[in-house]
Amino acid sequence: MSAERERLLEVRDLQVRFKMGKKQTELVAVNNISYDLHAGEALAIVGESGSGKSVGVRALLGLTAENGKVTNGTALYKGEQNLLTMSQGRLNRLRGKDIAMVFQDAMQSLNPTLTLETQLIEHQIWHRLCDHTTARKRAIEMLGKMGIPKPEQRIHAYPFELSGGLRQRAMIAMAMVTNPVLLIADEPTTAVDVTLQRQILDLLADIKAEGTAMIMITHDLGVARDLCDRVEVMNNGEIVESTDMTNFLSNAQHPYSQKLLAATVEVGDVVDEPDNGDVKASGEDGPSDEAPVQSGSVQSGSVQNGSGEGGSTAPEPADVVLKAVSVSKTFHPKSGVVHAVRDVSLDLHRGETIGLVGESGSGKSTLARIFLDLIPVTDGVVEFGGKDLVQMKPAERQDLRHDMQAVFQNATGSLLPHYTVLDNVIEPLNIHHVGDPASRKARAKELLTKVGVDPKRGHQYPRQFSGGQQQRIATARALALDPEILVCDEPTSALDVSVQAQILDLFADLRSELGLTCLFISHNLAVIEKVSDRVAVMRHGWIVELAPTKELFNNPQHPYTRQLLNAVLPVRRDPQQFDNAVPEPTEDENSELVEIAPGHLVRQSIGAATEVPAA
Amino acid sequence: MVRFTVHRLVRAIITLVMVSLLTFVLLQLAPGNFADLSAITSGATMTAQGQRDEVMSSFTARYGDQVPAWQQYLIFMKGAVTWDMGPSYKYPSLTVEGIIAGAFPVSATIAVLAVALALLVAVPIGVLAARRRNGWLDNLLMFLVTIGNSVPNYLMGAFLLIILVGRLNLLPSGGWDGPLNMVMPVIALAIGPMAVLARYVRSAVIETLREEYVTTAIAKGGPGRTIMVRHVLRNSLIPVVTVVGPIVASLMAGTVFIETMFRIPGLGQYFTGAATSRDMPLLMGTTLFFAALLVITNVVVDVSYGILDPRTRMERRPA
Repeated sequence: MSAERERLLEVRDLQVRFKMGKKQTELVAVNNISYDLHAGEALAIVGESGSGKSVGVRALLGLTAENGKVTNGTALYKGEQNLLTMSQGRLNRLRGKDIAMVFQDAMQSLNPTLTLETQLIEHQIWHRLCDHTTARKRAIEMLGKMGIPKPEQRIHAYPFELSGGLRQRAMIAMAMVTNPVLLIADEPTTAVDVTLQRQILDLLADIKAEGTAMIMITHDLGVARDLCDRVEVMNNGEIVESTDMTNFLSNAQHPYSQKLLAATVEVGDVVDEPDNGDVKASGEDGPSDEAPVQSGSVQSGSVQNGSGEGGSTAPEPADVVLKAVSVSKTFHPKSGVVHAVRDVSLDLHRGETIGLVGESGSGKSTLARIFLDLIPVTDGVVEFGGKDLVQMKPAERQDLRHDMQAVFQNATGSLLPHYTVLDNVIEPLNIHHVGDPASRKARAKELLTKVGVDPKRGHQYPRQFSGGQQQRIATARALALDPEILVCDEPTSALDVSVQAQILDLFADLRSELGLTCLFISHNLAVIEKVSDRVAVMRHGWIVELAPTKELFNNPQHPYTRQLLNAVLPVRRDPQQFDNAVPEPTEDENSELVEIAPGHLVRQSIGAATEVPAA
Repeated sequence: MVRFTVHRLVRAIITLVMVSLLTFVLLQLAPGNFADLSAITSGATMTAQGQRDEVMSSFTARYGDQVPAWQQYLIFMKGAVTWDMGPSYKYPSLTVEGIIAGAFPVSATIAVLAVALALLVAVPIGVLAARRRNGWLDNLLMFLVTIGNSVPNYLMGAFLLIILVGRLNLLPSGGWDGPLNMVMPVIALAIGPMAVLARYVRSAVIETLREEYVTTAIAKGGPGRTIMVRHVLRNSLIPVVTVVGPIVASLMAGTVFIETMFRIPGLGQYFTGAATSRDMPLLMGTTLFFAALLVITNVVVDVSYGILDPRTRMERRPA
């Protein structure tokens, strides 16, 4: 289909090896991959962490880490120049000018001690594109084009003086200012919030529309689908499937591709189950029994089917395990005042899971820490079992810790590295003097089995386990004391999709089996939809909307909730229209949560009409 | 910014008072006093006896007869504040402030030159070693650095004397008459800091080379040297500056061995001489002066941090 277009890049049998550790063990990170890229085309390279997708592309620009080496292959640029063998000088003339690259996190890939001016101009001068004055003019133009307001002032800013969104835009402006033929983007939206991700991708779509070819490295199939025409699926350093995007989505052939697609959790999965079936039906030898997600099955247990509008969502008051009344938390860092949590009232009923969504800085984690009694409230009351946390005696507080456990995002960091896995799980039992050493050990083994970790590996250390397994171990530890409440703070955000799916299944099983009450925090709406009975949307410390899951996803009322939902990039259906404009904040001191339907609360200005806006 | 400055100033004053108190108390606790010690060292001859009397009379003139120690302390501190610390015991004809004013410029000149030389050599060595890390050149350089670090400066001074003066007769062997006198002491003093700084620069550069913004600069097609200077070195020097400050300060306070070896009229001789002879005013004066130097260099380090790293400039706020 692309025969008429110029062939920009031909990669053949690219192999990259690394020497690892003291013994210099050889590791083949990229094993003989081949692909083509045509002018103006956008190619997605997808795969999970460690698949070699990033290493393979960085090798093209001579960016292989010092312990790595390109050991085979060619990469012809415009049919004649081999990127892998050309001299450093010639490569320097291409990179940054013909081929530009953007990285994951602008905070790390912009030099913190140089202004944008220097960083946007220097490579124009290096490539002798124009003189300094013109370079500066072009830099300002490009910043403006990338949606940075007042570019002629912002160009004097240091990276840390910009907000995350502007920083990301500035980084892309830096890559685009030389007008490259090919833009390589290495997970350009992984570190940013969902609404910003959408904005950045819209920006990249504009760049693509102007004829720049693109290679997008991503683990997020939704992102790949949104922007790319073709896709290369990588697993263990090899390309296992190479096809165009439409074909990939509807008719993926390789079992690994199918597994990736099936494992992707997304908004609407719970409602439209058949969608998922299509994909799976295509592969006869599909990974039916080891497929991480059997769509819908998770929801069958404890979740109400959404039919009764609030019927089961308003249980008896006696069932309230944890209660927050007008809770606020204010921090006083050196540079002013941060209202992290404002006037939050929330009841956690026995056996339910409340999902907490919001962007970074919205106060989700602070609220979780308040519930865990890790930080005191500035204002308001938190009651556990009818008792005010503030007035608890040390002994009661100890009981509280016994009944409330947490699982965090970074499993590696939350496990004691110098304790064996078994000791990690036993530790809470020791602290709370539960049982004797023998029974503790038996209990820990039982828990490891329950979360799917072989208890025979209990004597090993956390670092010997994969990220997903570490999260299982952290979960086992959280369950050791048989807590009533489990607070999960982004427990799957650092995991690959297939592992995320497994962990979510584990949580679902544990909840229905143990009757756990759960506070589940995530910025991922699809994950929240999958696990929650009710969802609270937070922004700037306020809860702006609180509703039963189905109600919230089908009938979002608050403009911010709608923007969040619209920003989602689904894999299996077209994304919603997305309006860049940030909705006017309706949350301030003069606003309140108004119940517009049973159990469905939306923050509105006091005095504003209480009628329901058209959906 | 005003609050910051006031805060620093108050802290500096507290530091200086603490240092003076500690020095004074230690001196009181140390066995022997000036009179006894000078009697022993000079064999209680008539001249020594006369000298002693002279000292004691000048002491009485300033501090009064039979004053308790705490009053002596207060009188001295008052003198220190007004830059009028009175005569030294050991050198009765000289005032403490006169000794400092005369010797400090000499020590400071050598110190600044030595640190400048150390940096001039250490930065390229550190960068080179970092770029070739774990290669033979890195190993060789770091081996030399270890040697440089372990050779005491007086040994280095002796080597220089033997070779440059004894064999080649290129330089004057000592004294303080012109630039040629500075060559050997500066080299001898620079070796130690050079080794320390080279190590610091190396590890700072290695760390910076791993930063994503350096990869970004390479991906922008930058020439190696520009990237090294603009993107790597500048960010690497931020931690190095913290080490340079105290090194400069300690060299400025003078070095006994080198000053003695090359017959340089620097602060070091007075500093140590005051301690061994229990010369209270001179010891207190030089110690306080050294403490003040350290405080000042720390302020200078903080200010240069602000110049090197915009994130630490307080007046700028994220937009």
